[in-house]
Amino acid sequence: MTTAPAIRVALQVSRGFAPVIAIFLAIVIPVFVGVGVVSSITDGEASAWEIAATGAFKWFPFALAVLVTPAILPMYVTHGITRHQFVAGAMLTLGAFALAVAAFLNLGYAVEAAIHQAAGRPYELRSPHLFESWTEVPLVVAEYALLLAALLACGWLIGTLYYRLHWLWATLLIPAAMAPAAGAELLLQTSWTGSWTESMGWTRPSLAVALSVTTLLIGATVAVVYTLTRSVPIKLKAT
Amino acid sequence: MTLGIEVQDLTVRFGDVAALDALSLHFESGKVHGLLGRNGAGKSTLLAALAAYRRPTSGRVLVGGEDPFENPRLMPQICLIRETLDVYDTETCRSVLSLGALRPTWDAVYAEELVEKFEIPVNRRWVTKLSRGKKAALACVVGLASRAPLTIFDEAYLGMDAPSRAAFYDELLADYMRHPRTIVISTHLIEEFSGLFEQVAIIDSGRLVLQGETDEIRARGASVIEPAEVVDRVAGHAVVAERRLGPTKSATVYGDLGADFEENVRSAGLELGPVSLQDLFIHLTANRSVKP
Repeated sequence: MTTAPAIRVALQVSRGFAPVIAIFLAIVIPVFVGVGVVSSITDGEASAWEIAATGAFKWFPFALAVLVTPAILPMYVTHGITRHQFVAGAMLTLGAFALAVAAFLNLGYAVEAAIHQAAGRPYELRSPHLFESWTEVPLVVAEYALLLAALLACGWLIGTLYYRLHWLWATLLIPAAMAPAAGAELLLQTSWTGSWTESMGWTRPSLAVALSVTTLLIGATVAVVYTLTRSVPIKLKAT
Repeated sequence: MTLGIEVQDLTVRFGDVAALDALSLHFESGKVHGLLGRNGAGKSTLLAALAAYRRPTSGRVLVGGEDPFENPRLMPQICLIRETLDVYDTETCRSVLSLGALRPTWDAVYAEELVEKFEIPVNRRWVTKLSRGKKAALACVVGLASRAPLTIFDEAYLGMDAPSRAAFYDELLADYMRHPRTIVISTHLIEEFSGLFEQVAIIDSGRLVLQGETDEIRARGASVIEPAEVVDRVAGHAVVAERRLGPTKSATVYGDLGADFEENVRSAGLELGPVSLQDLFIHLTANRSVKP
């Protein structure tokens, strides 16, 4: 029992999420393989994985993040974990999860590109990205990890608001709680946000500014989550 | 290791309602305590404050001399078990048991023994799929196997049937003898549990009504049993409860009975019995009106 409590929490939370994530992957991967097959017939150059990367792989983890405080925090306090240790552990889990998903998406691009190459077809990403090619691994991982981390932080904040406040206040605060994710989208200007900002004639800030300000936004969101969580009462669940 | 508890002027408010109202009491270390009170008396709120589930509005809670709230040294040593187990609906029984390992005092082998003893079907089973009784038994397993120096049960056993509750009492006592700790039990099943309690605290409307050694409290009262007209001679003492069964009447008296009470009663040919903790509890808390 010498492992730091936050790491023990992170490992336990990851174990708890693992079956749900496995079910999600078992559904999503065949769906997008199917989409890939259809798109290779109708539009042979486009990436189907790019659609998965900008949709399901963002919003499903967001839904999981909403559950972190209301569903998981009480179990850990019951077992002697402080709220501070829990927030640190959950932050590690969500951060590692964002990085793992980003790496997995990069791997998906690699596999898809290899299939296109084997079929002798060109391979094209149609949305704006921080990267020009899937081979620019640091940029691919940075883009997806930061966008997902921002969304996870917002989901975690929304769940915490519902646990801490009356549901009406929590609902009214959803737009404010989603602001960091919107900020990250506007700063990084990728996928549909990138297309929209492009059409508006806006230019992306320098890469260093976009990455560092997005990181700050995520950190600030987690700080708000911690502020709301550090003294939250553990409510008695109805039987 | 055991932990004593000091509660000083503890107030917890929910909006305009004071669940606990300047409550002060002391739970001695290394004993089994009964916490009794009617619905809404503030028992669960008090236990939540002891277990760092909630911060008091004012006043202090000290466990082992320290404030338990967000105390990383103390919180792993406190285990509060509620009937809901505080788990989410999608948790499996196995994951609930694996969470126990977060606590340094957790005994996984003992947990498995108890799972077998209470016949809880833990393998590949969601907690929500357990019957209420088995879920309550799982909660008790988590509490016992936690071996926490301060272990608190808040009505965790309500869903269990009588034989399972009896097995739980036996196991609780046996494990308490093997691993002494401070145990606080909140219950409405007063008669069933009264044999376990070394000390009892009764609270009502967020305030302390009575606290002391169970034996001393019971020694301050007596049940007088005999023909009705004779029992009426004990008038002058506070009658806590009366029961009639045909020509026989039982009256429970409580308070300062005087040194010669027992002699007087016995010389009158009356039978004396121990005071029932439940009768005493009803007497002390009955003033609050019962709302339909």
